[in-house]
Amino acid sequence: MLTYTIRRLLIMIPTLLVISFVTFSIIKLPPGDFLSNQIAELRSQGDKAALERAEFMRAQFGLDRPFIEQYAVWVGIWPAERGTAGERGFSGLLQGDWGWSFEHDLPVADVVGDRMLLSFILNFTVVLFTWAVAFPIGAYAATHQYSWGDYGLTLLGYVGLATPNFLFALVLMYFANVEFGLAIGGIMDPEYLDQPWSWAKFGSVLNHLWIPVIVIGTSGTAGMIRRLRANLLDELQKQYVVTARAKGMPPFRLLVKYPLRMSLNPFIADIGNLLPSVISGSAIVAVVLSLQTSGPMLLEALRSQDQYLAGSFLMFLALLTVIGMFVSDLLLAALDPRIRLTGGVAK
Amino acid sequence: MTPALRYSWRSLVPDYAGGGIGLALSLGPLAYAHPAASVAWVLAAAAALFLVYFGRTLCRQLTHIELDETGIRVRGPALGLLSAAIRWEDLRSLRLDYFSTRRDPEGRTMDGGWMQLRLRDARRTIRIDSELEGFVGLARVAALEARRRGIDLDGATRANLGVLGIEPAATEAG
Repeated sequence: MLTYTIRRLLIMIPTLLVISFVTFSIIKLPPGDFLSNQIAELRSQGDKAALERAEFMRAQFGLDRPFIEQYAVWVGIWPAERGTAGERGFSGLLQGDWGWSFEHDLPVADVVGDRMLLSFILNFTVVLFTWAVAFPIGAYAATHQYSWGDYGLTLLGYVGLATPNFLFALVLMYFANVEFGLAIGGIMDPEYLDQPWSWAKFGSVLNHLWIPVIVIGTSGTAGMIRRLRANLLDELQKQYVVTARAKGMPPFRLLVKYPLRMSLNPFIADIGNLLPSVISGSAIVAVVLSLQTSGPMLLEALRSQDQYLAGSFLMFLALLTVIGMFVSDLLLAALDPRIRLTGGVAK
Repeated sequence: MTPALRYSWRSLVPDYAGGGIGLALSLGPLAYAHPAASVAWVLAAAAALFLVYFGRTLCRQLTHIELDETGIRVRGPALGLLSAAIRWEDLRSLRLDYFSTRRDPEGRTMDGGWMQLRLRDARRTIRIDSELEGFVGLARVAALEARRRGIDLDGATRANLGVLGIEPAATEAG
């Protein structure tokens, strides 16, 4: 496993470097940048003082430098020029400096505040919810194939798969408001926004968390139920299960000992795949439900070309995904280290 | 006794390169870019891992394996500290695992992955990777000895032995 872990880590480092490069390239793809757009606007208004300040900032943040130099400075592997004296120093992601948000005129770290943490809590809870719901239902549906319960849960699964998250969020908001008089938008009560963390704030987050968790988690849960059911059905029809049954092994013990273990593979393998879909799905849901997570701010930053803010968000989300993939690969290798040949040649 | 089995240069070069590149990518920013404390700790941990990997590759280069009808012996460096031997009559378990760093939606392929044979007696464990020259022959002998002694094999080991063209033992771990 040590060899595996290290080889897998070796892939992670260049992956993150490539992601950071692609992220930065995409952010820089549209012509101009936040400040050049602002400069054009100020020029048309004839505001000379503001224009000079914007041009000074453009030079200060190196936006007039070549693309590759801007990238290297952003990552923190190339020293940036500081102040007017011409001295140079490292200040990028590696140094914990996320850059400056031009739109908010504040350091990115101050703008982001709790949003990254709240995004992490939300997405992590969605993954837990997906597993906690999908596992028993999938196992039940497979062991009670073609029963009323199986048909009912299958129908529910298809409904969950077919319903877009944002639509589900709107429906839930409408019913909660009309039927129960509840305003379920936001991820915490408004009075806790911008307050330091306390038990009361944490409790408020937990009170509000269930709606976005259900909305974002439902489609993933439905998909996972289908996969677990199919895998478990395959396993239950194998010869060793028939043999164990014939030998009089108790059904529950038989189920838990081999077939269930084998059908766990998609659960583990999906950790990595689940995170990107949960994160991208949660961005739109966060807009609909007015959640104070990273999604709405990321969309706004991309729209206004606030490059350091958008880049920091994207890098954080990419890091989460890469770590998710890494954990899922390690667990999968430990759970079932067997080869499945699909035309590959043995070494 | 079979001739001593060694890890081929073809398998060692990528490992040396991987260890070296990993060390450069983790130690380089650590020494040159003055990273934040949290990032520095992560880079230092990664550097330590890559250093272990580099050392392990060096040990592999200096290791050879002997196989005969009485047992298997690993002759390693460090004045024999990294040497080990298992007599077939003391063999307690055999595992053949497969690892791959590539993802394939249909399953993993042997291309890009490697196997690890794990032999264990009451006191020690010997791990041998499939990059060893003559690995299939060694795995065949070990599987035969395991079958002779009625050692149970798990499902993954049986499947992996089957891929190497080795008929696994008739029993399955229960």
